[in-house]
Amino acid sequence: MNQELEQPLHSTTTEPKASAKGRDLDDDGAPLQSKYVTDTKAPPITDLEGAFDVFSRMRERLRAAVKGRDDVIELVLIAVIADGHVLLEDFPGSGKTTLAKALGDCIIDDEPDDNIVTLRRIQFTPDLLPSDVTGTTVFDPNTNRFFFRPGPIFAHVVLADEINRTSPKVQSALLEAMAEKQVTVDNRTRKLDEFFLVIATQNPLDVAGTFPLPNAQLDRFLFKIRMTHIAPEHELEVLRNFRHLKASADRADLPRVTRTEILDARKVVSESIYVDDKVHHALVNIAARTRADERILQGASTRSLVLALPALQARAMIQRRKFVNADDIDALADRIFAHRLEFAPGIDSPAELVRELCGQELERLARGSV
Amino acid sequence: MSPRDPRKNAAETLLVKLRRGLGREDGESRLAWLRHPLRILSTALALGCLVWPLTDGVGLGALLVGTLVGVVLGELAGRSAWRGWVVAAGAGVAFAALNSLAMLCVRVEWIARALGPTTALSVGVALRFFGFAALPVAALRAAAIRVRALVFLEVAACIAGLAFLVQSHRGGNLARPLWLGDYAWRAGLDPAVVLLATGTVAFLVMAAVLAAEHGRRSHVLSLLALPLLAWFVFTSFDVAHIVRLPKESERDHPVESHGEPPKAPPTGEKPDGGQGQPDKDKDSSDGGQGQPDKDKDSSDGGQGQPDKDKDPSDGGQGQPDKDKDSSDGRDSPPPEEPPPLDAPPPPDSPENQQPMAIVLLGDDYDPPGQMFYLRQESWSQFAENRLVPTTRPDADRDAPSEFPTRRQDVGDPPPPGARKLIHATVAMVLEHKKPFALETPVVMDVAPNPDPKRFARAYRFEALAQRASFAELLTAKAGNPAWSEELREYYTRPAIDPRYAALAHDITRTLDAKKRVLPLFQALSVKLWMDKNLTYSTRHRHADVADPAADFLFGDRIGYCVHFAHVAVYLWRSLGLPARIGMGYAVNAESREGSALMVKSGDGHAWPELYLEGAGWVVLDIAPQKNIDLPARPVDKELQRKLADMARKVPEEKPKDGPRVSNLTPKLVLPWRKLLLVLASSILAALYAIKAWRRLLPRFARAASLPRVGYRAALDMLSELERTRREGETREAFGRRVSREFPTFARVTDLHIEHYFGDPSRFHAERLAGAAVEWRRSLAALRDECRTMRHGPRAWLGRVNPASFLASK
Repeated sequence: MNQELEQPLHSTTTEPKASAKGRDLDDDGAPLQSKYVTDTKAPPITDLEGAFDVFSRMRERLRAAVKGRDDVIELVLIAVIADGHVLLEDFPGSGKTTLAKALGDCIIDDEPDDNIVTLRRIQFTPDLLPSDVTGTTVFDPNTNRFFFRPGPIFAHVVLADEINRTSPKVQSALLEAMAEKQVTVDNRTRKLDEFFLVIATQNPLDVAGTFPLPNAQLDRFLFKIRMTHIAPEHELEVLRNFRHLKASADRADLPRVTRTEILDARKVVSESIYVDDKVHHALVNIAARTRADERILQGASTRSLVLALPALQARAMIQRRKFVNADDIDALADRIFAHRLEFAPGIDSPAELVRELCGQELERLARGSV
Repeated sequence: MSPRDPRKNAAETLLVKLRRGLGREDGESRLAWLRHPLRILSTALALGCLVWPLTDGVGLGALLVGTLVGVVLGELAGRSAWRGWVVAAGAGVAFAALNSLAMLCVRVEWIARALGPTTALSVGVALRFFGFAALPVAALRAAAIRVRALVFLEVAACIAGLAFLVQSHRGGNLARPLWLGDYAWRAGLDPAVVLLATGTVAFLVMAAVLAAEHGRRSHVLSLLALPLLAWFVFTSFDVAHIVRLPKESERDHPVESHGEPPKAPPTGEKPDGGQGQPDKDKDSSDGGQGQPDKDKDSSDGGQGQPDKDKDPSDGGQGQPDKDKDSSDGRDSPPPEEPPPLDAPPPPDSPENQQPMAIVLLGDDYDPPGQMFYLRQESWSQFAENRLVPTTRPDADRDAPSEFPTRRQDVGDPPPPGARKLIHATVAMVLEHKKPFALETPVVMDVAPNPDPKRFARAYRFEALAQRASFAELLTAKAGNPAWSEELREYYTRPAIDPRYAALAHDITRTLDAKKRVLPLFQALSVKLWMDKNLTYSTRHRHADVADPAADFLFGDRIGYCVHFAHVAVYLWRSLGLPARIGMGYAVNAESREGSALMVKSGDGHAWPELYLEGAGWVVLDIAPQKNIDLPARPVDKELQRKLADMARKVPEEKPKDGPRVSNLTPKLVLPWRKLLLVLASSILAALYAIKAWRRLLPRFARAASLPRVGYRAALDMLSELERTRREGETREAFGRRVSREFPTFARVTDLHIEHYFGDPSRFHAERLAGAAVEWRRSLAALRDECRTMRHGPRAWLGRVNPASFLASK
């Protein structure tokens, strides 16, 4: 299965036959599947323990693939559970693709008939067209009929590489997909899968000839994660185990999760993690503070608050807590808010500023408890 | 990691540090940058106050620059990686270097010659004061940045500069800087006031800056600055009245009577009058200094108070009512030390006719003895050959020793039966040391000064004056049954000389047996014998003899009231009657003008008193039939009326005699001090009570409120050990940070957070009860952990700090 996956991953434009082949992936994919998903379907996830189990299985697999990035792995998994998209800002060769691949790798598509594969990579270039992303209608001379060839966006995990390199037209095509989980081709709207995650990357420095994402688009991403270089000891580990890591057969032993399990976990988390009204108030107050502050031209949107809630719940779940607390806000606020705000010129560390505003609110929240 | 890291060089680091130090930090409020200019200004002002009298413009300029440099250096050094002792040593070395450089500029000939003498001197001064300002300021600033608590040193330095100024001003030599001094004098101000105001402003600004900078964070050590502050406040209280100058209007006002009290020094008691008015003394010594308006005072020389109406021939009598009690007046007003029995009786000089005070009686009263006895003190205790004021705490408590500062009861009130309550107001024309009141006072009260230009002060008293005639008291027993045996023995202790007893028994032998048992009869017979056989004269002083009273009685039998009073008391006591001498003023009832009674300084008198059961101390004065003195002058009724009219006036507005009231500051400071003490101690007590309450509450709080009060108690425990949550830190993060030292606190935080953020529907009664058990167990465990941590003085300080709970949040 890996061999076949490799092909679309390395093509800059989408390969129509890849999606068609999505179906036959599972035919011969069965022997490669891990021992955790064998013949029978996994029992449905009904409680937080199960949800945490889903999380820890994914984490184990990702940690095996990506070294020294435990915090990023955690954030990406929070996005998976919170149904959000992630923008990774990083230098070339820092493991973005590896991370995305590992994520796709650990998900088992347990509905093989829906024409949707687990992972697709789109390398964005200036000459990319929207139809290259969404898919297009093709005439079949055999049947004399038009049929729809789905684009690479029809996948569970989409790695949108160097998203700022393509034209706004393509970016906006992605935008609809991210927000509505649907694409419109030839005036026909087609649904994407319920489990749809975009991991976009961009290079923070190499900005010549790029189309920076507008704020409206940035607002669709749950997190913008700035990755830093990993610690030297982790780098050493990467070098020593490079061959090992390359052979994905090694990872076959590691647990995987199914698409259904992830969707179940999402449901459980959003239903069982209690969010107190104080947390709602705090979020609203933080947004109000960002709007009132003179150093911020455009404050946090209501959508950002809506997106923040499941993320806070997911973090509470991975901390094995049954409620959202101030710590969750503290940990996620700058990741959630910093990239959506428009800052006045001269503010060189938006995250710091958000953390400061957030600190004021957290102080108020903390003082309210005694 | 930012890719620019490698490109960072030392200069850039320095710039960043400087910006962080002097500019906006972490996006503080937009006025945050103001704090450094303010700090520089206030420190410069405080230091300026300190050295102001020592230097001139060059020094002050150098000081200002030095402060500026000092603050900048301190900010940099405080944020640098240098060790603390390196910074301190560096400051010390630089200080020494600057000082020796300053010395070299003046001492080394070729440098001085190259620069020119004036420039060399100026450079020396500038270097010295630059170093004086820059290096201590830098050291303190750096210390305060490194250890937050040491901010206290900065404040203390600021206060010390001010307090030192105040202290030195008391010495009275504050002439520099001349330009400021001259300007202030011309504007009618004391330069000291200008300096004090400057210093106070500096201190306040400094305190405000520090408070703003450190927010609500309090610290144990900051408590130490409070006593310093209090001390400073008290010092300025004391100084305030010294620096006051007489107003132009007051000075030029023609003083009609002798009643104008001394203006500047409120404390006539001071041994040398010059001390009180340093400014005047200074003027008279260097008269050319440019205070033209003061020159006429300097003609008064060292004399403290220029009392213009005073008889100039009477040398050194600045305060006739005080210093010369023993030497003038027929029987002069009692001084602090009783006058010697052989004191020279003065001639009937005009001094004796000076009005001393006006008593306005509020009730109609005619004394049975036709004399108003205004008692100031009582003498009942033997001291060799005479009686003096008692040292016993339980005797003679009916004479107030101080002017009232509030309404207060006088001890030992007499039995009210034979007496009448009299309300009266006394307006003192002359400054006086002790109050007097109609015998026997029961209440002393303050009264507004009706006219500060005429009267030194005023007060009220209520007295139970004798109403019953002696005929009604004839059957009264002697002494008070409530007295202890010892006190009775004290009041009846006779003189050692046996001749008194022999004479007393001689006199009473003629009484028939029935009358002889009545104490008043015995006393009366002694009085009548004395009236008949003794002669009054103020000229016979019985000076230079061992026992003037005996010399008087068993000698020429000519003497004056002090002798008469002593003899009467000795004779009565040898008959077993409790007796003492009353000292004060006696005014003839005939001289009363309506409700007004004028007391002249010549009215001073001493009289014998007798204690009768049911009547209290009764005056039984001796009235000798033979008087070889000149008759007393008639009372100046006109003056009496005028003074009484003035005394009856109600002062229009209080603030007007504000400064006059401040003349009494040494007396007024006391209640202030007590008040502050009470205030401080009650605040302290309240703080301790709150602290204990917060700590003990979890032991008996309801299960539902435990998550709140229990957690609060845990926070208090930690804040005693200086583990407090940082601003903006979440409780969870604080819990993680602290749980490294106090593992139980992690559990406490979890319990608290779960209750705060968790689903309230899950907290039903039995779960709460279970949680309560865990709460109490965890708190006990945390207490143990804190106890094992509690070592060293800091832990001890935290435990006694009453405000430690303020830091827990």
